[in-house]
Amino acid sequence: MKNLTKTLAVASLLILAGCEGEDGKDGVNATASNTSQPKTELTTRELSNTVNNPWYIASSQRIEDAKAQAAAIAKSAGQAKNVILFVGDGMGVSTVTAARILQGQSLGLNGEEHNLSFDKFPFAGLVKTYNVDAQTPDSAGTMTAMVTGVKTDVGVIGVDEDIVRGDCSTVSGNELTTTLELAELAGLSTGIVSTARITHATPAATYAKSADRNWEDISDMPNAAVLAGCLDIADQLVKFETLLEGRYAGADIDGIEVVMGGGRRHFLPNDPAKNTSDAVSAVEGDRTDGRDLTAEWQTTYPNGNYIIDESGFNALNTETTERVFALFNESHMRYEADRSKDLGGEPSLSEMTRKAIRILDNNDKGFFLTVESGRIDHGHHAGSAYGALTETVELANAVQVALEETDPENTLIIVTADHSHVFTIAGYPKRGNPILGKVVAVGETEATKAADGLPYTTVGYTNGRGYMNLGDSETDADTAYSNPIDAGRKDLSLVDTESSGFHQEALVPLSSETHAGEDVGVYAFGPGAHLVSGTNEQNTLFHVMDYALNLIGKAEKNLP
Amino acid sequence: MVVMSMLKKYCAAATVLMLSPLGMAAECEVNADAVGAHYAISQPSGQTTALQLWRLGDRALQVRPEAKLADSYRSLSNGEVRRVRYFDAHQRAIEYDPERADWSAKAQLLPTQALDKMQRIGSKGSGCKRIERYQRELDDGQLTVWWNPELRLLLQLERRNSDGLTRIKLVDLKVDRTTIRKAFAARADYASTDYADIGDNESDPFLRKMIRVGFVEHAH
Repeated sequence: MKNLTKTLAVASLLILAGCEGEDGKDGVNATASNTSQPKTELTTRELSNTVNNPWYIASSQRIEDAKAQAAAIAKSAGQAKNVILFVGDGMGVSTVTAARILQGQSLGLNGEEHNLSFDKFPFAGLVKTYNVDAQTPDSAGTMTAMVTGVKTDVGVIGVDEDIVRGDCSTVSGNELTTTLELAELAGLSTGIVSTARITHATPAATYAKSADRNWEDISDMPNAAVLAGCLDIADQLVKFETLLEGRYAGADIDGIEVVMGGGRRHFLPNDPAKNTSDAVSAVEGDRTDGRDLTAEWQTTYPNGNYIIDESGFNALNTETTERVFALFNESHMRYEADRSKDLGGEPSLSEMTRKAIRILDNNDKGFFLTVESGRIDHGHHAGSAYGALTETVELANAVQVALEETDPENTLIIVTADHSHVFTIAGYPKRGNPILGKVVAVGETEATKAADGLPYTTVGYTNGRGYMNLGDSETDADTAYSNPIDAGRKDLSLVDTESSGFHQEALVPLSSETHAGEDVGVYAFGPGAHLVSGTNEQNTLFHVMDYALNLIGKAEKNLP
Repeated sequence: MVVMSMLKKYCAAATVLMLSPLGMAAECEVNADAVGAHYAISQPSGQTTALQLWRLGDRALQVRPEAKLADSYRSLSNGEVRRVRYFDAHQRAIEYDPERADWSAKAQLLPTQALDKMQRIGSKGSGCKRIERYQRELDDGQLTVWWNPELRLLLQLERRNSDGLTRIKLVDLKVDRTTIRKAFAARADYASTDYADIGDNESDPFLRKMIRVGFVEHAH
């Protein structure tokens, strides 16, 4: 405390010195200076109100912690053994803030002061998310940027901007190399976990090259593309090992060890005889080439575990499992809030993250793991803040699991988003006001009325389907699509806006709420995390991971 | 008597429709889980449209030819119903998440609960030739339903109010399984999209239209 007081006194002197005018005086007229002499020193008594304040103490401690963490972090290249990249799909800054408050309030706190697991990371920055051809981006171009170091067009996977979207013939020669591929070439174990279909844009960008993000299986592709030799995304996942070895002469990799997500439909033939017990469609598989890629994967990896439900997941022995291919849903996995309703049972994102790490860390050389919370984006598209925020909280839980399961001295953890959404936190609600509630002003107990005489919620959307009150038993945000668009202002006076089935008002009527173009946050912890600061192009993140793992160097060393 | 006369007349017509696939067997040989019912819907304005209801096991398909729209439903073991909407003019399909829904409303057009709230005022025949007549007074008129309980099939529905008469009438019945399977398979090749994904597909003209103008109700 003595040192701090001394520091403040010196700082005060410096500030006062800086206030002097060109004439050497303090810039205040002589009459004023005569009546109020400037202080040249602050006493402990005068400072005590500041330095003993809990906010002051906590923030001071935060700086001390940050200094210690920064000092402890390995800053030279190649110091990381493992890298985990968490991507909250559509997790803009307002989503992070609102999820933080929601989780805090669920713990009985006011909420605003609470921290999500990654809020406590010592390094953070901002990311510019635009695609080469789009001001407001999509997941395909953004994830490609993150994992290849190259910004590209909207809607394309693992290829550069010279691609013509939808034109198979332009893929060849424009393929990019990803962190996951480099990790395989470097001898690391690799994993992809997502709550979306595993063939969806974000996870696909780690392993596939496609002129269109929607070519998830062969039935999604134009005949011309099939005839020209382009492979669908699901096929590329199952053939990953062969395809990568074909691109790098002499490469000998062992394939992706952990694949967990949804999207069974893209791996199964269009044959009801191949339906699983978890199917929601009359014919679960979409593939029109008659191939069962799940069977092909099992043939390629006879020691691997193919699983489709929670019981199979729970039965995995992480110490003996060589590799796992888990497809828990026909399409996207369930929202976390809706997970208990799944026919076959699904693990949570944090449960998948724990299993994935425990399987991957069996490799002494280390691992690269990508974990996507794919349904934050879907909750927002459906106009459900409850859906999007509960997904974000679960992502934070998964990050906490990663912290518990790894050594901070050898594992770089990066948490970021691919893009934002038109989701706002507005009005002047008082401290601790329920984040999903109506705005209640400071000192008030009743909801504030807008100029139209109606209350309004703190969180809302600039566009989308708008208001819906589907009740507290509705936990699937996508149920909104069965209800009519109802944008604009509504009388919420008697509506429980905190219920899981409430969908926020939207200004511009659209059948699906849209992405937004502002920067997103990036948070980092572990070796190389110090490189995450300032405002960055999204493709910079590749270089942070490469630096931490020395991926390119290790990969080149392994190639003949 | 007037009502009975109308019922008799209708019953005769309905029986003809139903007898043809049934033959004259005393026992019903038509499976309620495999039928194709074609209806004519007439509005007070005089406008007439068609509606087809197809049922096959745990699936139901409702087709509105004039609108070039069809909705397929599948009943899941957890009580949820999965819906897919087909846009015939675009040969596209949009898939909805399974949700809690009254399966009888999808598979019968008339929910069982709604029928339970009506008063049975007459019946005729037995087995799959049985016709029951129900009625209910509404705030602004009257609802009358002719119903076959064996086939769980709506034969006719009439709603009378100050606007006039709205009628849904069974005009054809298909029971051949090959025909029924064809009806379900007719749209199997449509490119389909999970509704959750349409927000990520601004570049697709069909989906862009959906994003901007909402549900594509008409095939323009």
